[in-house]
Amino acid sequence: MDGNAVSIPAGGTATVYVAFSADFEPPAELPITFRTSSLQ
Amino acid sequence: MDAAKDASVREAGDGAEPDGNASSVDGAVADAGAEPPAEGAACTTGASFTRPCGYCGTQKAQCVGGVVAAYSVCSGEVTAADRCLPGATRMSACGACGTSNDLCIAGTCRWNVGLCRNELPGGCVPGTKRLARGCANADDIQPQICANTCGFVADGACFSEALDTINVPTDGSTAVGTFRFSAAGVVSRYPDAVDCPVNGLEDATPYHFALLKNTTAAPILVEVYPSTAPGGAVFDTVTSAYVGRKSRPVTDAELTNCSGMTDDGGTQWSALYGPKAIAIPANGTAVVQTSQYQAVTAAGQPFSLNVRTKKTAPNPLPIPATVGATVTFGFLLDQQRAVLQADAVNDLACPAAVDAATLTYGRYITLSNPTNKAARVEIRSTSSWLPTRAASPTIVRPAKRWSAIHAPISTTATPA
Repeated sequence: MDGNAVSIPAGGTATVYVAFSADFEPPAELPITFRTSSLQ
Repeated sequence: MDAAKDASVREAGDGAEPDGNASSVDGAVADAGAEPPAEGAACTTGASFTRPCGYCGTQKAQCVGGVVAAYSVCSGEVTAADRCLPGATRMSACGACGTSNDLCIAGTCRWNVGLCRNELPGGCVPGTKRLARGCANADDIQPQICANTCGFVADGACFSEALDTINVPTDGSTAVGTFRFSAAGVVSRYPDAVDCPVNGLEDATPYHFALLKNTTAAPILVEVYPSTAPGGAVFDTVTSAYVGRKSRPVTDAELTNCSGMTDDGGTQWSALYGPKAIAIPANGTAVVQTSQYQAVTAAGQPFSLNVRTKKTAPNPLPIPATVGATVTFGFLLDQQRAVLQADAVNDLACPAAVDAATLTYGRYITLSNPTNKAARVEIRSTSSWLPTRAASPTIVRPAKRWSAIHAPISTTATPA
Protein backbone atom coordinates (compact mmCIF):
# COMPACT_ATOMS: atom_id res chain seq x y z
CA MET A 1 0.00 0.00 0.00
CA ASP A 2 2.85 2.34 0.77
CA GLY A 3 3.67 2.44 -2.89
CA ASN A 4 0.64 4.65 -3.32
CA ALA A 5 1.41 6.88 -0.37
CA VAL A 6 1.80 10.59 -0.67
CA SER A 7 5.26 12.04 -0.03
CA ILE A 8 5.50 15.20 2.03
CA PRO A 9 8.84 16.90 2.61
CA ALA A 10 9.97 17.74 6.13
CA GLY A 11 8.06 20.76 7.34
CA GLY A 12 6.22 20.95 4.02
CA THR A 13 2.73 20.44 2.75
CA ALA A 14 0.95 18.45 0.08
CA THR A 15 -2.49 18.89 -1.31
CA VAL A 16 -4.42 15.76 -2.11
CA TYR A 17 -7.66 15.39 -3.94
CA VAL A 18 -10.06 12.78 -2.64
CA ALA A 19 -13.12 11.96 -4.68
CA PHE A 20 -15.95 9.62 -5.34
CA SER A 21 -16.29 7.70 -8.52
CA ALA A 22 -18.07 9.57 -11.26
CA ASP A 23 -21.32 7.68 -10.86
CA PHE A 24 -21.69 8.63 -7.21
CA GLU A 25 -23.35 12.01 -7.46
CA PRO A 26 -24.75 13.13 -4.13
CA PRO A 27 -22.22 15.14 -2.18
CA ALA A 28 -21.76 13.50 1.19
CA GLU A 29 -19.39 13.77 4.02
CA LEU A 30 -17.00 10.92 4.22
CA PRO A 31 -14.59 9.86 6.95
CA ILE A 32 -11.06 9.84 5.65
CA THR A 33 -8.11 8.40 7.54
CA PHE A 34 -4.52 9.53 7.13
CA ARG A 35 -1.76 7.19 8.27
CA THR A 36 1.89 8.08 8.44
CA SER A 37 3.64 5.08 6.91
CA SER A 38 7.22 6.27 7.12
CA LEU A 39 9.45 9.10 8.31
CA GLN A 40 12.93 9.33 6.85
CA MET B 1 -97.05 -10.87 7.50
CA ASP B 2 -95.06 -7.88 8.77
CA ALA B 3 -96.35 -5.10 6.55
CA ALA B 4 -93.92 -2.59 8.01
CA LYS B 5 -91.06 -4.63 6.60
CA ASP B 6 -92.64 -5.31 3.24
CA ALA B 7 -90.29 -3.50 0.94
CA SER B 8 -92.61 -4.01 -1.99
CA VAL B 9 -95.29 -1.77 -0.55
CA ARG B 10 -95.14 1.94 0.11
CA GLU B 11 -95.49 1.54 3.84
CA ALA B 12 -92.12 -0.11 4.06
CA GLY B 13 -89.71 1.89 6.14
CA ASP B 14 -92.28 4.34 7.43
CA GLY B 15 -91.23 5.28 10.91
CA ALA B 16 -88.57 2.56 11.00
CA GLU B 17 -85.72 4.94 10.27
CA PRO B 18 -85.43 8.60 11.35
CA ASP B 19 -85.23 9.92 7.82
CA GLY B 20 -86.39 6.88 5.96
CA ASN B 21 -87.46 7.34 2.37
CA ALA B 22 -90.23 4.91 1.59
CA SER B 23 -90.52 5.89 -2.06
CA SER B 24 -86.89 5.01 -2.62
CA VAL B 25 -87.44 1.62 -1.16
CA ASP B 26 -90.28 1.15 -3.59
CA GLY B 27 -88.11 2.36 -6.42
CA ALA B 28 -85.37 -0.06 -5.51
CA VAL B 29 -87.78 -2.95 -5.99
CA ALA B 30 -89.17 -1.53 -9.21
CA ASP B 31 -85.67 -1.16 -10.61
CA ALA B 32 -85.10 -4.82 -10.09
CA GLY B 33 -87.31 -5.55 -13.08
CA ALA B 34 -89.75 -8.43 -12.60
CA GLU B 35 -91.47 -7.36 -9.41
CA PRO B 36 -92.85 -10.29 -7.42
CA PRO B 37 -96.65 -10.33 -7.37
CA ALA B 38 -98.56 -9.14 -4.35
CA GLU B 39 -100.47 -11.45 -2.12
CA GLY B 40 -103.72 -12.56 -3.70
CA ALA B 41 -102.60 -11.85 -7.21
CA ALA B 42 -103.24 -14.45 -9.89
CA CYS B 43 -100.39 -16.87 -10.50
CA THR B 44 -99.54 -20.32 -11.74
CA THR B 45 -100.10 -22.85 -9.03
CA GLY B 46 -96.80 -24.24 -7.76
CA ALA B 47 -94.76 -21.12 -8.54
CA SER B 48 -92.75 -19.48 -5.77
CA PHE B 49 -91.77 -15.85 -5.27
CA THR B 50 -89.04 -14.06 -3.36
CA ARG B 51 -88.95 -10.35 -2.68
CA PRO B 52 -86.68 -8.02 -0.70
CA CYS B 53 -87.90 -6.66 2.55
CA GLY B 54 -86.82 -4.60 5.55
CA TYR B 55 -83.09 -4.27 6.18
CA CYS B 56 -81.86 -6.17 3.14
CA GLY B 57 -83.84 -9.26 4.07
CA THR B 58 -86.05 -11.48 1.90
CA GLN B 59 -89.44 -13.09 2.19
CA LYS B 60 -91.05 -15.84 0.13
CA ALA B 61 -94.53 -16.86 -1.01
CA GLN B 62 -96.04 -19.78 -2.90
CA CYS B 63 -98.77 -19.77 -5.52
CA VAL B 64 -101.62 -21.84 -4.09
CA GLY B 65 -104.86 -22.40 -5.98
CA GLY B 66 -103.92 -19.85 -8.61
CA VAL B 67 -103.30 -16.99 -6.19
CA VAL B 68 -100.23 -15.75 -4.32
CA ALA B 69 -100.35 -16.86 -0.71
CA ALA B 70 -99.09 -14.78 2.20
CA TYR B 71 -95.41 -13.88 2.17
CA SER B 72 -93.25 -15.28 4.90
CA VAL B 73 -91.73 -13.29 7.71
CA CYS B 74 -88.80 -11.13 6.55
CA SER B 75 -85.57 -12.99 7.23
CA GLY B 76 -81.86 -12.57 6.75
CA GLU B 77 -81.91 -8.89 7.60
CA VAL B 78 -78.79 -6.86 8.47
CA THR B 79 -78.65 -6.61 12.23
CA ALA B 80 -75.86 -4.06 12.70
CA ALA B 81 -76.73 -1.19 15.02
CA ASP B 82 -76.21 1.38 12.27
CA ARG B 83 -78.34 -0.41 9.70
CA CYS B 84 -80.74 1.56 7.55
CA LEU B 85 -83.47 1.02 5.03
CA PRO B 86 -82.37 1.22 1.40
CA GLY B 87 -82.78 4.67 -0.02
CA ALA B 88 -83.22 6.36 3.33
CA THR B 89 -81.37 9.63 3.91
CA ARG B 90 -80.25 11.46 6.99
CA MET B 91 -78.17 14.41 8.04
CA SER B 92 -75.41 13.60 10.49
CA ALA B 93 -72.73 15.46 12.43
CA CYS B 94 -69.17 15.16 11.18
CA GLY B 95 -65.73 16.69 11.47
CA ALA B 96 -65.44 20.00 13.26
CA CYS B 97 -69.14 20.64 13.90
CA GLY B 98 -69.99 20.04 10.26
CA THR B 99 -72.85 18.07 8.73
CA SER B 100 -73.14 15.49 6.01
CA ASN B 101 -76.05 14.18 3.98
CA ASP B 102 -75.90 10.40 4.15
CA LEU B 103 -77.66 7.89 1.92
CA CYS B 104 -78.55 4.33 2.80
CA ILE B 105 -77.06 1.96 0.27
CA ALA B 106 -79.36 -0.65 -1.24
CA GLY B 107 -77.94 -4.12 -1.01
CA THR B 108 -75.92 -3.42 2.14
CA CYS B 109 -78.41 -1.42 4.23
CA ARG B 110 -75.50 0.63 5.58
CA TRP B 111 -74.97 4.37 5.49
CA ASN B 112 -72.80 5.97 2.89
CA VAL B 113 -71.56 9.07 4.71
CA GLY B 114 -71.64 12.14 2.52
CA LEU B 115 -69.10 14.93 2.19
CA CYS B 116 -68.61 16.83 5.44
CA ARG B 117 -69.71 20.43 4.95
CA ASN B 118 -69.97 23.62 6.94
CA GLU B 119 -67.22 22.70 9.40
CA LEU B 120 -66.19 25.28 11.97
CA PRO B 121 -63.16 27.13 10.58
CA GLY B 122 -60.21 26.37 12.81
CA GLY B 123 -62.33 23.96 14.80
CA CYS B 124 -61.40 20.50 16.03
CA VAL B 125 -63.12 17.14 15.98
CA PRO B 126 -64.87 16.50 19.31
CA GLY B 127 -62.97 14.05 21.45
CA THR B 128 -59.58 14.79 19.87
CA LYS B 129 -56.81 15.16 22.44
CA ARG B 130 -53.65 17.21 22.24
CA LEU B 131 -50.95 18.75 24.36
CA ALA B 132 -50.54 22.50 24.28
CA ARG B 133 -48.82 25.44 25.90
CA GLY B 134 -50.32 28.34 27.78
CA CYS B 135 -49.32 27.32 31.29
CA ALA B 136 -47.87 29.70 33.85
CA ASN B 137 -44.51 28.02 33.32
CA ALA B 138 -43.78 28.38 29.61
CA ASP B 139 -42.13 24.95 29.41
CA ASP B 140 -45.06 23.16 31.06
CA ILE B 141 -47.59 21.20 29.06
CA GLN B 142 -51.36 21.63 29.08
CA PRO B 143 -53.41 18.56 28.08
CA GLN B 144 -56.51 19.53 26.14
CA ILE B 145 -59.53 17.83 24.62
CA CYS B 146 -61.83 19.02 21.86
CA ALA B 147 -65.27 19.79 23.29
CA ASN B 148 -68.60 19.26 21.55
CA THR B 149 -68.46 22.90 20.54
CA CYS B 150 -65.40 22.00 18.46
CA GLY B 151 -62.94 24.05 20.46
CA PHE B 152 -60.15 22.77 22.72
CA VAL B 153 -60.58 22.98 26.47
CA ALA B 154 -58.34 21.96 29.35
CA ASP B 155 -58.29 18.24 30.05
CA GLY B 156 -56.22 18.20 33.22
CA ALA B 157 -53.66 20.26 35.04
CA CYS B 158 -50.47 21.66 33.54
CA PHE B 159 -47.46 19.45 34.10
CA SER B 160 -43.73 19.51 33.54
CA GLU B 161 -41.98 16.65 31.84
CA ALA B 162 -38.41 15.65 32.67
CA LEU B 163 -36.55 14.51 29.58
CA ASP B 164 -33.72 12.00 29.48
CA THR B 165 -30.64 14.22 29.43
CA ILE B 166 -27.19 13.81 27.93
CA ASN B 167 -24.38 16.31 28.42
CA VAL B 168 -22.45 16.49 25.17
CA PRO B 169 -18.95 15.13 25.92
CA THR B 170 -16.16 17.65 25.78
CA ASP B 171 -13.30 15.15 25.56
CA GLY B 172 -14.02 13.80 22.10
CA SER B 173 -15.73 10.70 23.43
CA THR B 174 -19.22 9.51 22.55
CA ALA B 175 -21.87 9.54 25.25
CA VAL B 176 -24.36 6.69 24.98
CA GLY B 177 -27.73 6.60 26.70
CA THR B 178 -30.04 3.61 26.54
CA PHE B 179 -33.69 4.61 26.42
CA ARG B 180 -37.02 3.09 25.47
CA PHE B 181 -39.55 4.10 22.89
CA SER B 182 -42.81 5.45 24.27
CA ALA B 183 -46.10 4.43 22.74
CA ALA B 184 -47.36 6.59 19.90
CA GLY B 185 -49.23 9.50 21.43
CA VAL B 186 -51.13 12.60 20.52
CA VAL B 187 -47.92 14.57 20.00
CA SER B 188 -45.48 11.95 18.73
CA ARG B 189 -45.70 12.94 15.11
CA TYR B 190 -42.45 13.86 13.37
CA PRO B 191 -41.37 16.21 10.57
CA ASP B 192 -42.33 15.03 7.11
CA ALA B 193 -39.25 16.32 5.30
CA VAL B 194 -35.50 16.56 5.81
CA ASP B 195 -35.23 20.30 5.22
CA CYS B 196 -36.19 22.08 8.42
CA PRO B 197 -38.39 23.83 9.28
CA VAL B 198 -41.01 21.67 7.59
CA ASN B 199 -44.57 22.26 6.52
CA GLY B 200 -46.17 19.06 7.74
CA LEU B 201 -45.98 16.17 10.14
CA GLU B 202 -46.18 12.43 9.73
CA ASP B 203 -48.54 10.26 11.76
CA ALA B 204 -47.72 9.42 15.34
CA THR B 205 -45.33 6.53 15.94
CA PRO B 206 -43.43 5.22 18.98
CA TYR B 207 -40.95 7.90 19.99
CA HIS B 208 -38.43 9.28 22.44
CA PHE B 209 -37.29 12.79 23.30
CA ALA B 210 -33.86 13.49 24.79
CA LEU B 211 -32.37 16.74 26.03
CA LEU B 212 -28.80 17.50 24.95
CA LYS B 213 -26.80 20.07 26.88
CA ASN B 214 -23.73 21.97 25.74
CA THR B 215 -21.94 22.56 29.02
CA THR B 216 -19.20 24.66 27.46
CA ALA B 217 -18.96 28.40 26.94
CA ALA B 218 -18.51 27.95 23.19
CA PRO B 219 -20.87 26.81 20.43
CA ILE B 220 -20.38 23.22 19.30
CA LEU B 221 -21.40 21.01 16.42
CA VAL B 222 -23.01 17.84 17.72
CA GLU B 223 -23.58 14.52 16.01
CA VAL B 224 -26.38 12.38 17.39
CA TYR B 225 -27.63 9.02 16.23
CA PRO B 226 -29.58 6.07 17.60
CA SER B 227 -28.25 2.54 17.43
CA THR B 228 -29.08 -0.95 18.57
CA ALA B 229 -29.19 -1.27 22.35
CA PRO B 230 -27.49 -4.23 23.99
CA GLY B 231 -29.92 -7.07 23.54
CA GLY B 232 -32.23 -4.84 21.54
CA ALA B 233 -33.46 -4.88 17.97
CA VAL B 234 -32.83 -2.73 14.92
CA PHE B 235 -35.49 -0.11 14.21
CA ASP B 236 -36.18 2.02 11.19
CA THR B 237 -36.01 5.50 12.66
CA VAL B 238 -36.18 9.19 11.92
CA THR B 239 -34.11 11.62 13.97
CA SER B 240 -35.15 15.24 14.44
CA ALA B 241 -33.52 18.00 16.44
CA TYR B 242 -34.91 21.15 18.01
CA VAL B 243 -32.07 23.49 18.95
CA GLY B 244 -32.77 25.92 21.76
CA ARG B 245 -35.55 23.89 23.31
CA LYS B 246 -35.48 22.64 26.89
CA SER B 247 -38.79 20.80 26.71
CA ARG B 248 -40.14 18.61 23.97
CA PRO B 249 -42.13 20.22 21.18
CA VAL B 250 -45.85 19.54 21.54
CA THR B 251 -47.76 21.88 19.23
CA ASP B 252 -47.80 21.58 15.46
CA ALA B 253 -45.92 24.87 15.26
CA GLU B 254 -43.23 23.56 17.59
CA LEU B 255 -42.97 20.17 15.90
CA THR B 256 -42.60 21.61 12.41
CA ASN B 257 -40.02 24.16 13.55
CA CYS B 258 -37.21 21.62 13.62
CA SER B 259 -33.51 22.46 13.31
CA GLY B 260 -32.51 19.25 11.60
CA MET B 261 -34.12 16.02 10.47
CA THR B 262 -32.79 12.87 8.89
CA ASP B 263 -34.28 9.70 7.57
CA ASP B 264 -31.84 6.99 6.59
CA GLY B 265 -33.94 6.31 3.51
CA GLY B 266 -33.89 2.63 4.23
CA THR B 267 -34.94 0.44 7.09
CA GLN B 268 -32.15 1.20 9.52
CA TRP B 269 -31.14 3.74 12.12
CA SER B 270 -31.04 7.40 11.19
CA ALA B 271 -28.24 9.77 12.10
CA LEU B 272 -27.71 13.51 12.39
CA TYR B 273 -24.02 13.58 11.59
CA GLY B 274 -21.53 15.02 9.18
CA PRO B 275 -23.21 17.89 7.33
CA LYS B 276 -26.34 17.16 9.37
CA ALA B 277 -24.60 17.86 12.69
CA ILE B 278 -26.58 20.29 14.82
CA ALA B 279 -25.14 23.53 16.18
CA ILE B 280 -25.82 24.04 19.88
CA PRO B 281 -24.98 27.50 21.23
CA ALA B 282 -22.69 28.05 24.20
CA ASN B 283 -24.36 26.64 27.31
CA GLY B 284 -27.34 25.90 25.12
CA THR B 285 -29.64 22.92 24.68
CA ALA B 286 -31.33 20.91 21.99
CA VAL B 287 -34.12 18.38 22.14
CA VAL B 288 -33.68 15.33 19.93
CA GLN B 289 -36.64 13.28 18.81
CA THR B 290 -36.07 9.66 17.82
CA SER B 291 -39.16 8.29 16.12
CA GLN B 292 -39.89 4.94 14.60
CA TYR B 293 -40.50 5.47 10.90
CA GLN B 294 -43.68 3.43 11.03
CA ALA B 295 -45.71 2.33 14.00
CA VAL B 296 -45.20 -1.32 13.22
CA THR B 297 -42.93 -2.06 16.13
CA ALA B 298 -43.89 -2.23 19.74
CA ALA B 299 -43.36 0.61 22.17
CA GLY B 300 -41.19 -0.06 25.19
CA GLN B 301 -38.33 -1.44 23.11
CA PRO B 302 -34.82 -0.16 23.99
CA PHE B 303 -32.39 1.69 21.80
CA SER B 304 -29.13 3.55 22.37
CA LEU B 305 -28.67 7.23 21.67
CA ASN B 306 -25.13 8.30 20.80
CA VAL B 307 -23.96 11.87 21.20
CA ARG B 308 -20.56 13.34 20.35
CA THR B 309 -18.96 16.59 19.34
CA LYS B 310 -18.22 16.68 15.66
CA LYS B 311 -14.57 16.72 14.84
CA THR B 312 -13.60 19.28 12.25
CA ALA B 313 -10.34 18.93 10.42
CA PRO B 314 -7.87 21.81 10.75
CA ASN B 315 -6.46 23.32 7.57
CA PRO B 316 -3.80 22.33 6.86
CA LEU B 317 -4.20 19.00 8.55
CA PRO B 318 -1.05 17.87 10.37
CA ILE B 319 -0.20 14.27 9.65
CA PRO B 320 0.60 12.03 12.63
CA ALA B 321 4.18 12.50 13.78
CA THR B 322 4.51 8.80 14.59
CA VAL B 323 4.85 6.04 12.04
CA GLY B 324 1.74 3.86 12.08
CA ALA B 325 -0.42 6.47 13.79
CA THR B 326 -3.64 7.64 12.13
CA VAL B 327 -5.95 10.60 12.18
CA THR B 328 -9.52 10.58 10.86
CA PHE B 329 -11.93 13.37 10.01
CA GLY B 330 -15.14 13.69 8.04
CA PHE B 331 -14.91 15.69 4.82
CA LEU B 332 -17.67 17.04 2.67
CA LEU B 333 -16.91 15.97 -0.86
CA ASP B 334 -18.77 18.67 -2.73
CA GLN B 335 -16.20 20.04 -5.16
CA GLN B 336 -16.49 18.97 -8.75
CA ARG B 337 -13.47 18.17 -10.89
CA ALA B 338 -12.83 16.22 -14.04
CA VAL B 339 -11.87 12.64 -13.44
CA LEU B 340 -8.79 10.97 -14.78
CA GLN B 341 -9.20 8.22 -17.29
CA ALA B 342 -9.62 5.12 -15.23
CA ASP B 343 -7.95 1.82 -15.66
CA ALA B 344 -10.54 -0.68 -14.58
CA VAL B 345 -7.94 -3.17 -13.45
CA ASN B 346 -4.88 -1.36 -12.23
CA ASP B 347 -4.19 1.69 -10.18
CA LEU B 348 -3.08 4.51 -12.34
CA ALA B 349 0.43 5.59 -12.67
CA CYS B 350 1.09 9.31 -12.56
CA PRO B 351 0.77 11.38 -14.55
CA ALA B 352 -2.59 10.23 -15.97
CA ALA B 353 -4.83 11.57 -18.69
CA VAL B 354 -7.84 13.70 -17.82
CA ASP B 355 -11.34 12.81 -18.86
CA ALA B 356 -12.61 16.37 -19.08
CA ALA B 357 -16.09 15.27 -20.05
CA THR B 358 -16.73 13.51 -16.78
CA LEU B 359 -17.00 15.30 -13.47
CA THR B 360 -17.01 13.86 -10.02
CA TYR B 361 -17.37 15.03 -6.45
CA GLY B 362 -14.36 15.30 -4.23
CA ARG B 363 -12.34 17.67 -2.09
CA TYR B 364 -8.84 19.04 -1.93
CA ILE B 365 -7.23 18.47 1.43
CA THR B 366 -3.95 20.07 2.40
CA LEU B 367 -1.70 18.03 4.66
CA SER B 368 1.23 19.39 6.58
CA ASN B 369 4.26 17.50 7.79
CA PRO B 370 5.17 18.86 11.24
CA THR B 371 8.26 16.65 11.51
CA ASN B 372 11.81 17.30 10.37
CA LYS B 373 11.79 14.18 8.24
CA ALA B 374 10.28 13.44 4.87
CA ALA B 375 7.03 11.58 5.35
CA ARG B 376 4.91 9.22 3.38
CA VAL B 377 1.19 9.17 4.11
CA GLU B 378 -1.41 6.61 3.19
CA ILE B 379 -4.98 7.74 2.72
CA ARG B 380 -8.04 5.60 2.96
CA SER B 381 -11.72 5.79 3.72
CA THR B 382 -14.02 3.44 5.46
CA SER B 383 -17.03 2.62 3.38
CA SER B 384 -19.27 3.13 6.33
CA TRP B 385 -18.84 5.50 9.20
CA LEU B 386 -22.15 4.92 10.88
CA PRO B 387 -24.41 1.90 10.55
CA THR B 388 -26.78 3.68 8.23
CA ARG B 389 -24.32 5.34 5.96
CA ALA B 390 -23.17 3.66 2.82
CA ALA B 391 -20.96 5.78 0.66
CA SER B 392 -19.12 4.19 -2.20
CA PRO B 393 -15.85 5.90 -2.86
CA THR B 394 -13.81 4.30 -5.58
CA ILE B 395 -11.13 5.18 -7.98
CA VAL B 396 -11.08 8.71 -9.24
CA ARG B 397 -8.29 10.75 -10.71
CA PRO B 398 -8.56 14.46 -11.35
CA ALA B 399 -6.33 17.34 -12.40
CA LYS B 400 -2.77 17.57 -13.65
CA ARG B 401 0.42 16.62 -11.99
CA TRP B 402 -0.06 13.74 -9.65
CA SER B 403 2.41 12.25 -7.32
CA ALA B 404 0.26 9.42 -6.02
CA ILE B 405 -3.00 7.66 -6.63
CA HIS B 406 -4.48 4.66 -4.97
CA ALA B 407 -7.75 2.88 -4.35
CA PRO B 408 -10.35 2.61 -2.97
CA ILE B 409 -10.18 6.36 -2.69
CA SER B 410 -8.00 7.98 -5.20
CA THR B 411 -5.63 10.58 -3.93
CA THR B 412 -3.52 12.91 -5.88
CA ALA B 413 -0.86 15.15 -4.50
CA THR B 414 0.29 18.38 -6.01
CA PRO B 415 3.80 19.67 -5.46
CA ALA B 416 3.99 22.15 -2.64
